[in-house]
Amino acid sequence: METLLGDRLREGLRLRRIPQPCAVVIFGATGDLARNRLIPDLYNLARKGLLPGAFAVVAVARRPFTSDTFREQVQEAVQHSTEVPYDAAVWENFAGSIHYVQSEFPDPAGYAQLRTLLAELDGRLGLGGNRLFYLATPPSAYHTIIDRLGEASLAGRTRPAQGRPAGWTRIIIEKPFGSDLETARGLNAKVFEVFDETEVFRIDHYLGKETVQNLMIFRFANTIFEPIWTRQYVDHVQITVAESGGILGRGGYYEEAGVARDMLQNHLLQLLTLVAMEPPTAIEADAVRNEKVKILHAVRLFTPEEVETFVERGQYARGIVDGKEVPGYRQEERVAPDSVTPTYVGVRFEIDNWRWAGVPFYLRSGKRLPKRVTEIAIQFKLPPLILFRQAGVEDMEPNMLTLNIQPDEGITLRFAAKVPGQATRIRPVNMEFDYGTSFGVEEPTAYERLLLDAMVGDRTLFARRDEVEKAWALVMPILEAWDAHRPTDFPNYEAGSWGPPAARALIERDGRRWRRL
Amino acid sequence: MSTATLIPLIAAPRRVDVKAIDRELAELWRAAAASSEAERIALSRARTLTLVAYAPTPDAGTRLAEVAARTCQRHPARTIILIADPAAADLTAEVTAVCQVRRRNLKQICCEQVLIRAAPAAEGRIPSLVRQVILPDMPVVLYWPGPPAAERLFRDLGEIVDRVIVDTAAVPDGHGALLAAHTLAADRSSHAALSDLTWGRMTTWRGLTAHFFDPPYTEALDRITRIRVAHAGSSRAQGLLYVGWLAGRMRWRVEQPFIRGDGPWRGTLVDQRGRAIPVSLHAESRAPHPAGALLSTLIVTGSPAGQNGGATFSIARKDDAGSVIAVAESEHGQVIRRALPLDPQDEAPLLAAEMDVLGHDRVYEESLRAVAALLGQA
Repeated sequence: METLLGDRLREGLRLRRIPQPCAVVIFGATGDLARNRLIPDLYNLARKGLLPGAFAVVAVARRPFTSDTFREQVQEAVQHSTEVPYDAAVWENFAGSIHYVQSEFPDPAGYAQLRTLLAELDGRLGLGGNRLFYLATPPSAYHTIIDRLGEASLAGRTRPAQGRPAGWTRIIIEKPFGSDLETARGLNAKVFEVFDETEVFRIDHYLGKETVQNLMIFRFANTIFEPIWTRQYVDHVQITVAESGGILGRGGYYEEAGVARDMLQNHLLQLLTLVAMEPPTAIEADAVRNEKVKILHAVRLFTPEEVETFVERGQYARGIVDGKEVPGYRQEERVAPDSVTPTYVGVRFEIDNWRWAGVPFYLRSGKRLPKRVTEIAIQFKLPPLILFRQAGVEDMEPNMLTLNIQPDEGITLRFAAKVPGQATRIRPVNMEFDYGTSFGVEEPTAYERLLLDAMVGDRTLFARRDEVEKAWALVMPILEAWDAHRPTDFPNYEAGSWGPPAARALIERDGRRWRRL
Repeated sequence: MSTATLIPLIAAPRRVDVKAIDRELAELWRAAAASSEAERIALSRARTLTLVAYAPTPDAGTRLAEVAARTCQRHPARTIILIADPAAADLTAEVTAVCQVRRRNLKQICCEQVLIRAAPAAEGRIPSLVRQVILPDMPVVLYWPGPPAAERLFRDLGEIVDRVIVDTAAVPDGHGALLAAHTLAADRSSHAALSDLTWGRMTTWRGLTAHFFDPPYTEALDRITRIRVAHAGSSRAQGLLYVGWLAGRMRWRVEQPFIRGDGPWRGTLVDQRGRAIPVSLHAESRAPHPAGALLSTLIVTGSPAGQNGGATFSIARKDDAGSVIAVAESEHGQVIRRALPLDPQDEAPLLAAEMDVLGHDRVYEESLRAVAALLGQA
């Protein structure tokens, strides 16, 4: 990591990692991600004083904007953002650092123009030749952009050794990283033609969320949880990423991706690795990622027959969500009327290692579920004996530790307590830790955190090549089995329900049930 | 910091027996829980520390109760407001709780407050009462909204708490207040860490100054030739502390302490290579800035030997007082300009920011040592 910690004046400022001077080059700068997320978050970093003094944003896209008209466009997005407070003076200054390059992604002339602009900014602002490229484009453009960056001597390996300013080059690649194992390998190979692994930042914005980062603190900075974080005490783990929304006009993308590529291969498996991994030797990028990869290796691969047993898929029909009638998936824009793309997945994984042998990990994700919620729930085993049976207590609720990731980040521990009175009655009670209540500070958004990490060069929260490929390897048997067996019952769950009946059966046949959220 | 409306949990503070404050607080929460259940409002009591705040007058007590309630959103705490009240009958206590609605999930976050009024003759018994009421095994912070005091109550409370937060800019004699803070910080018999709202007021200025010397200007840090600081009005606490911070961080020695008079204060520092750095401190009257506020800083650096490469680094408060402009300009014509909102300068957010850190602030203490040297008191 390169920060300017050597700067004697920065010590004691209670912040703050300030990156070196650099240019952030955003490809696909007129798209929703750049306009509504990346630019407002960069502006917010500027507002918080977390960007270097010498800094530039170079927006690259096809639309015929000038730098001035592009600034006006994104100013509107910042002003309308509900998450970012608008400050005219800060905006004016930040906007001055934004430059626009109009180019088709395959056009070499655009990259020559980009190279000239970056050299000019290096000289004028003293950026030191540091560049962070952000691919905020459809994945179909990745190969082309990477090729052209290489040809224009802008990528890490292709920058001229002599006469260039000393400086780093990094590239952030948005998910989905490939559409299957083969394409992921192909994309990695393409990236490595012109970049080194240390220059590649594969982003999964879930990892930028505070609760996800707190998972490691929670596990490894407290002594009371880690000893019971094993098969001896844990009955099972449930990971839920539920969305009440539909596909938000992204029918074209979603028809190709489906829930397994959109959620399971990345978000759900990332959360699984963080819950299940062993303590790393240090909180630094490769130590953490080594442990995550070990877990992915230990997750049992499904045979085609096992996919039938341990994985359930679904697609939503019309229904009611948040009190409003919503169309079914097949009625969405740019979706085939006979589409068999799954919008729900429920999986039962097992991890074949010493810590987790025999503990099922149930993962589920779906669109148009009753509410938007992401959580990890660890259910502990019941006491070996119900001592209070003779006092009339027949059932007890097991202890449950819940890590709430969104919408309200926090941690809840459920335990049993006696109901006051003469009779022995036991009721589960929740002990809640709520981030917003205990730390009433402005949390950085996931993208703010990850953009800053990439500028500083901290790769801990980004996926490594082997991690991405191993995650695809786990998902491939599911995709292949689904391709081989076309579903005949789609749509099989109503919008606003918790998924298809078969998903309930997936967990209930083990004598367990999905949490009611 | 939020300016959300504060909602008292009960209509007025409830007068209680000083020997039963804990029991009365528990009762307050039981009653509130029952009524919130009836009204289906999510009510959260959160406590991460105890804040003890001293108010020298009843009016200051009213103000501090609100300031403390506003810090609650960032640092949920049990607050004990100690009010010196000549009209009080010995020692009296009242309990209340103040809530703020959290926007995102409409939860009310409530913090309990204990108001202790003490007649002058009863002040000596305040520390024992504080010991009784602080939360067990949680950090305890004392907010003393003035310079470190010589009186016994300050010393006794200092023995109970983990951190003492003072405000050296609260009096016109800012330099005297800083010397008192230096004496306190240097007292190794006290375990409490010391902090100062004046230090917090400078956070943006320190951050911007540090930013100046990021690449491409890192080398310039060792070629500083002149420093000029302007502040509003009479208190020189912020200006002095800013120069002390630079001197301490850069390991500069004081060759000529400040010559103090009605005009600008001038002194001379010497860098590690033995080069003199003249420093001047200018008091300017400029509305609407509060007394003592930093108005501008200018750092001039020389060229590397035999080269042309000097630069100036300036920070100036904009007239709206809410933001600053920082400009780095080299002799080559390279200009880096930044605008930043100032960190909030109101009492509540400043106090909350100082409560973020509980241990000793080594850089602050080092800056105080440098200030003492600049004032000829080393």
